[in-house]
Formats: sequence, C-alpha cells, structure tokens
Amino acid sequence: MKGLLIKDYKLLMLQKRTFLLMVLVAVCMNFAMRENALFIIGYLTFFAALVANTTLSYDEYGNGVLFLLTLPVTGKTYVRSKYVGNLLLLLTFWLASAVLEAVLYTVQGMQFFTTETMIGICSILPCSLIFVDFMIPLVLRFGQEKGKLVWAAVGGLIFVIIAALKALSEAGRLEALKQLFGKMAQHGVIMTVCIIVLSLLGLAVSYSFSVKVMEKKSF
Amino acid sequence: MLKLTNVHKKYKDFTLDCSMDLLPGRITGLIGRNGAGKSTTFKVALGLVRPDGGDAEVFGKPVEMLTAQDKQRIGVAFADAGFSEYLTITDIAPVLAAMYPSVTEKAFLEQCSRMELPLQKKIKEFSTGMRAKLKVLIALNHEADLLILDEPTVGLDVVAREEVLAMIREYMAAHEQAGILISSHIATDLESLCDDLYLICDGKIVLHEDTDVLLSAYALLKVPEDRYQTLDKQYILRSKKESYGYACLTDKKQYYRENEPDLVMENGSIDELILMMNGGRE
Repeated sequence: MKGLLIKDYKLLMLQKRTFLLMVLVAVCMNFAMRENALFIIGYLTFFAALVANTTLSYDEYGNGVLFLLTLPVTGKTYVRSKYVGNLLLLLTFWLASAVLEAVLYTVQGMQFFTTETMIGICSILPCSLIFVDFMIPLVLRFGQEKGKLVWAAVGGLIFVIIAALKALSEAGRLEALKQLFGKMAQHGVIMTVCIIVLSLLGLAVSYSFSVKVMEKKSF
Repeated sequence: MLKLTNVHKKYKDFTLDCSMDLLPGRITGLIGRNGAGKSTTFKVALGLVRPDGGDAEVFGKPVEMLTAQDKQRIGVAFADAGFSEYLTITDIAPVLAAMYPSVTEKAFLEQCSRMELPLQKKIKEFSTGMRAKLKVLIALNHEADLLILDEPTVGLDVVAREEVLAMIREYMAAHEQAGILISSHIATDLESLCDDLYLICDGKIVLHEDTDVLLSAYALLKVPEDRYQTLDKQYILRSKKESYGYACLTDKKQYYRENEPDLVMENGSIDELILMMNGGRE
C-alpha cells in the first residue's frame, strides 16, 4: 500500500498550485468574513475531500487501475489505499486549516478557543468524511463520469427527502423527531458525537462495499 | 508456471475458450489477429477478468488466490495500460521501490538512464518507443519469475522494436528458469524469440507447436486445381482457395516432399500460418 500512497501523493503534488491558491483564498476570506472560522475550515476540508478523489480519475484514465492491479497490489489493497489516502489528506487539511485559523484569529486579537467553535470544528471532519463515504464507492462502481451523475442523483434524492421531511414537519407529523433534534441541538457535544458515529459507520459500510466492487470488477 | 485449463469466458459478441501451459525456462508466444482474444487470455491469467468456467493457475495457485508476494514474482506489460501519463520516471521510481524488495530507486533510475529514457519528462511527452521501453523495463526490473508481455512491440519502428526484443532476450539469458508469455501480431518478432507458439483464432487455441517444428516441418503447398482432388490430404491442416488452385498448409513437409515432389512448396512462416488458420478450411 505504501507504493500506492506514494503514487497518489505524486499525483496530488501535480495540483500543488491549486492547493496554494485555495489556501490563499481562505486567508483572504478570513479577513473579509471576520469571525467565521468554521466556514473557512469547512471550505478547506471539503476542498481536500474533492481533490483527494481526483487520484481516482488519474487511475481510471488510460487503464491505470488495470495496470496497478498487475503490480503487487490486490483489489482490497487498492481500495484501502484510497481510503487511507483520503483520510490522511482530509485530516491534514482539517488540522492545518484549524491551526491557520487559530493563528489568524490570534493575530487579529479575536477569541478562537470557544466551546462553540471547537464543537463546530470537530463536526466538520466527520461531515466531509460522509462525502468521501459516498464518493469512493460511487466512482469505483460507475467510473468518474457516471459516478458524477449518480452523485447528482444522490444529491437530488437527499433534497427530496429533506423537502418531504419539511412538508411532514409543517403538517405537524414530526413533533417527536423535532423534539429529539431540539434536545440534541441544545447539547452540541451529543450532536457532534452522533455525527462522528454516523460517519464512522458510513466509512465501514462504504469500505466493505468498495472492496466488493473491486473484487467483482472485470477489466 | 502458468496454466489455463478449459478457461471459458463469454461476452456479448465474443467467447474465449482456451487452455495453455507455460513452462519455466521457456518463451511462449501467443499469436493471433487483433480481437482474437490475446489480451483477454492475459487478463484471465492475471485474474483481471473472472472466467465463467475453467481454471487459471499461476505458480500452482488459483489466480484469484494470488497474494501481493506472489505478484512480486510476476512482471507484466500491457500495450494500453501503465502508470498515469502525468507522472515522470522520477515519480515512479519510489513507487516501484516500495512495491518490490529487489528494486531500489537509484538502480531503477540508472537503468532508465542507460535506456536513454528522460527522467524528468512526463510520460505523456514520451515517444511511442520510449513508452514501450519503460513498460518493459518496469516488467523486467524486479527479477520476476514469470513475465506476461502483451504486444510489447506494437507501434514501434524497427530500431525501437529490436531494442525491446533485446531487453527480453537479455533477461531470459540472465534468468534461465523464468517463463515468458508474450503476444504480438508481428510474426518475425516471435519467430526469433519464442520456444513455442499458441495460435488463437476467435477466442480458441487452434494450434500449439514448438517454433523449431513450425519453421522446419510446416509448409505451404501450392496445389493446382486439377491436382487438389487427388492430393493425399491426410497431413493437410487447412486449405484455401487461391487463383492458381489451392494453398494447403501441412505439418509434414517431408512427407509431401517425398510423395509429391513436383508440387511447389513454401517453407512455413507464422504469417502464413495465421492467414491459413483464419481464412482456410479444414
């Protein structure tokens, strides 16, 4: 797996200018949108999740996956390298952006280490992980192009579900659920723990689905 | 070393049905027209395509059970697959060094320099010959026991082709117990390289023969139409209608030389073999 991670690192380094640009934009946004650390950390972490997926596109191009599987790499190792690589990149960007924000806040004489901000920062990582949980198996199963369509369909489905929930809520049929969420919202830590548990469960399901996809794949 | 037994794979418009055996210390060629099933056979042998039936074994192990350690003993080059073209050789070297215990970054870069491959240039900027050399070098650089080379010389000019073939010959000379399975539709490449040849037509192995036998015992008889009816056909493998009568492929050249001395006879060549096995009738 080390070899695959090195390869992905080399591929990601092809986009180092984009990385720098994004960080610059984040720094500028920081000055333009004062006291909005969560937005900027979220922006950079989700950007990392998007960029991490480009290594799948590079592999897909020119029968790259087929070639990689002729090396001492099994389908399972390939999948594992994608999850590990994605997680490492997410974690790096999340940590780096949090440190960057802490520094920028301190320089500007603003309060960074508040409970609310810390809870928010802790929720960003699992939220972006949920995106990865969907993206990797979709791209492996359908390819980058079709994967985007399926991703759009998933987005549409989520929108429909939210709209349906809203309609039900307005009709007064979700009172019990609303009360539950209301209580959870009052306890930010519980909410964050729920998101973390959900994203880890999603990660386990996503990983085992991706392994199955690779094991069944013919080239 | 590599054994395919009654491997069967059905696609919408193509069916692969083949058996083959690659022995240590031999270079085995797989020849056939484009679309005959050469690449599919290779993919089955590497576990990249799951057959509907039959057995594919490498090093005596079912191919689906191969571990990363087993795969370290295999070197593969596919004509249409490789590392991302956005990478350079300098990028690839640490990847290979991490995957194969016998490879070091320095040694691989030195090998590439010796082959006059640019180390800092992206692969997409390489010439066809450079790409082919790099692919074969990647397959050869880790002392593999089994090499699977799919059309390693396709699209190359004479000089580049000879360089690639020389790499394979040198490898075999230095690794006498290694086995190589190689495909090409350039017959002369395989005539000079292979110990034995499999001919595949429409997904089926129609012939397996030692190259020496093929070149010494096979011949093409040019038979006038009036002689064809009375010709002793017991050793005729295929016949094909031609303007002068019939072209007949035999694997018993000496028999016809002795019994039909007046017939025009051409020595067997792989190109003729492909043509006759594809266009001729039994």
